[in-house]
Amino acid sequence: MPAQPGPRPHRPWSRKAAIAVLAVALSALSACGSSAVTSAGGGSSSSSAASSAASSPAAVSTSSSAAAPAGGSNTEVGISAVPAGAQANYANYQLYAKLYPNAYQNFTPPTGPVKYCESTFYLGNTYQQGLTAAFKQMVNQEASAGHAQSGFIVENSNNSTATQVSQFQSEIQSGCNVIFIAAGSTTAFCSLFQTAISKNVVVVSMDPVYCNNAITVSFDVYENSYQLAANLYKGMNYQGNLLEITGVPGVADAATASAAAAAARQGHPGLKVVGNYTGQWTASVAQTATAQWLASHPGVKVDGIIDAGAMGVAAETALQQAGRPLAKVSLQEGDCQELAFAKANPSLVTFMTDQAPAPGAYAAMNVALRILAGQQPALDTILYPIPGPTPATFNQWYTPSMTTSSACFASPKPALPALTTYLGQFFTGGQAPASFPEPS
Amino acid sequence: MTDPDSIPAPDGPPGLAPAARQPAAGASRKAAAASAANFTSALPYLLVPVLFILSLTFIPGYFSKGSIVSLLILASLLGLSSLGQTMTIIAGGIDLSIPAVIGLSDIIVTQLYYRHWSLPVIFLAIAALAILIGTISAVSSVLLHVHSLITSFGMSLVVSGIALEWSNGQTSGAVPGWLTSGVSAIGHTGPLPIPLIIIVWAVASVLAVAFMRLTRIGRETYALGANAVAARLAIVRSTWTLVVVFSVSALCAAMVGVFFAGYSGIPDPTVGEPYFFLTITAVMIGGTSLLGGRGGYLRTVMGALIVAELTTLLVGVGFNASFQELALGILVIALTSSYGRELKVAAKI
Repeated sequence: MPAQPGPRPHRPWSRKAAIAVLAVALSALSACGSSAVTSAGGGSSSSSAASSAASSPAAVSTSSSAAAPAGGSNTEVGISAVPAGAQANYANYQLYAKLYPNAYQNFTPPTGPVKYCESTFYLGNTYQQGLTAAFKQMVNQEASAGHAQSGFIVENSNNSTATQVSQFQSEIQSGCNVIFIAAGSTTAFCSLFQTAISKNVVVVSMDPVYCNNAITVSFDVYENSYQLAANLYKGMNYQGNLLEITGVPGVADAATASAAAAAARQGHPGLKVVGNYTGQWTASVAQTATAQWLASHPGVKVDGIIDAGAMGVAAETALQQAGRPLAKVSLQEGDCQELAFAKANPSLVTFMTDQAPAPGAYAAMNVALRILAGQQPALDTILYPIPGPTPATFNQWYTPSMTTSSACFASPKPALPALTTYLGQFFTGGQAPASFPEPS
Repeated sequence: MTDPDSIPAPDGPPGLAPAARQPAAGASRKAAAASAANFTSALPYLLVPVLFILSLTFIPGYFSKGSIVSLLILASLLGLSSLGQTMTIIAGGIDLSIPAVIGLSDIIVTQLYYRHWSLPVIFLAIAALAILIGTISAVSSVLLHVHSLITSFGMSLVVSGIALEWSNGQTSGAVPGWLTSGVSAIGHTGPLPIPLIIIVWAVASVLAVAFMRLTRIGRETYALGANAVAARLAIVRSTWTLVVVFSVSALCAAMVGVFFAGYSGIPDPTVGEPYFFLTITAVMIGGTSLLGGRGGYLRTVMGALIVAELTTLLVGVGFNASFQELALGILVIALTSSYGRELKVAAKI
């Protein structure tokens, strides 16, 4: 039917009413949005959610417990289950992970070469690609020694938890003996973890999961964020204006990092968060957001940058491009551009850690090999201290080929011996492997 | 062959205004409708100065060279990446491969320059690749008889895959200093105290508007978007037009990728992701119809400025990212609901 030409007829009253209701709804939404907004010029707290999480860990813990998984055990253990030498790394574990008892008492190691697999929810960034590449390197070394089947099975669900559940299930059925999982959900895999352990499959999760039957091997995001922030504030003599660049809004790790940074600020009124915005853990997004913030705050001095990860150098670049003085920053990725920035500006970098994928993959493989060797973990949640260069060891990480335009990661070698020693204290019984494969 | 003069001009010639072509239901109603249409049409041009004045009012010290140049750099990145999107939308299509091409271009320039390739060779290689990507999107859309939404999305996945495979988690890169300076608020272009990207955007804008208004292929783009069947009957070179339009889109995206390499300095295959929706937002806010056949790049320039100004204003007064998206969404709905009140060009002929 052809469109009827002519002027639009008057709207009936019902349509006008509907439009009015829509306008009111949008206004209400706007009001909700603005009430959750952090004041850019505001005091020392970064966000209400963050402050709340920092001040009431018990509330966070209760909330987490409420999300008890279907099909998996949710019996938790306390800090006493953690070896004495590692308890310092679990100081605020409730804000990040749950502690579960060892579920591998009845585990029977497979005979013959082991089949290694990985299940990941995303492979679209250099970190996840680096993780997979490190696993492949180590599996190849195991295969060369006759301990593993050649080939490393990788399933990527591309941000779909439902797809990842299905892929994970097929990996169990296809005879994988060890599955490394970057889980897209803390609870969706719990019943499958139970299936996996019943089939003698070792599941090593690189993120916290809220049920037993898989062993979590990770660093404590809260503790790491707290240390980064505390060292930054100390480097600023607890005085000055801060920009806080957060991760992806709504993601647990982003809120945890903000809470830690806020907690480290408590008792230091000289520190003022003048800007708080998301960089989505992506350098280009953080740089654009920082440029936008600087353009809209021409007279505000920036003394320090709270970087939730992978965004500190980008923010410094934005400062430089705006003709502003660079600010102090703690850097946590330990990638080539951060190391190059630290080399060029040692007085600005107050603290560094190495969150590169290779040490994480190494820790996960180390734990899997120990379990395959018949060793028993003290518990199923292993949080390790994140390695990182100090002024004394900086040159073990840094090489002159690194520039602030490099997106590579430093060699993991300097981090590995300490990780091996640390992880060893969690295991008893069996015969520890004589050596562990290392990513390059 | 369609008489080019009968094809609606970029912003719609007065002769096509609905009120002017319809049987009169009353002189006053006709005048009111025409007046409303004119006001709607002028909205983006009004919003740019209004938002600027609001920024001056609410952001202390905003009237400084640094702030304004920073704003224009961000608008330039969006405006350049939206240039091709405007053309594809006017032609009745859409290009979803823009973010992927930006990412691939960023990777190519940073990695090849790091390996000491000469810049002219790198730029030629990127341009050739962009034209190839645009051509494949357009030709496959014609041959397979599917909307370019599907073919360009497919190309987006292919290009992203290539970029990720190339970067493979371990990448090193380098960019020439002049490129970094070209997107820096304190950068110069020769003796001019203006960064290169702003000048490039200004020149590209003039060329794009002239191309769409004055060239045969520009007029054919409007004809194709207004009514593809009628355009083919009128011997409009539809395949060639789509190839040109999608190639221009990919070239613009590639250019933005090069500038992004200078901006962030690192090879990042995901650098273009924010532009997936932002380019469409800039086109829509400017007033170019998503139905095709109507609009123009000058409007998209206004759209890009509005997005950059609104975001800067909201950041300046302390609103976070969630509220910025909320406000942008409300603006898109409000503006497009008023633009959308006009009939598709094909229905008016």
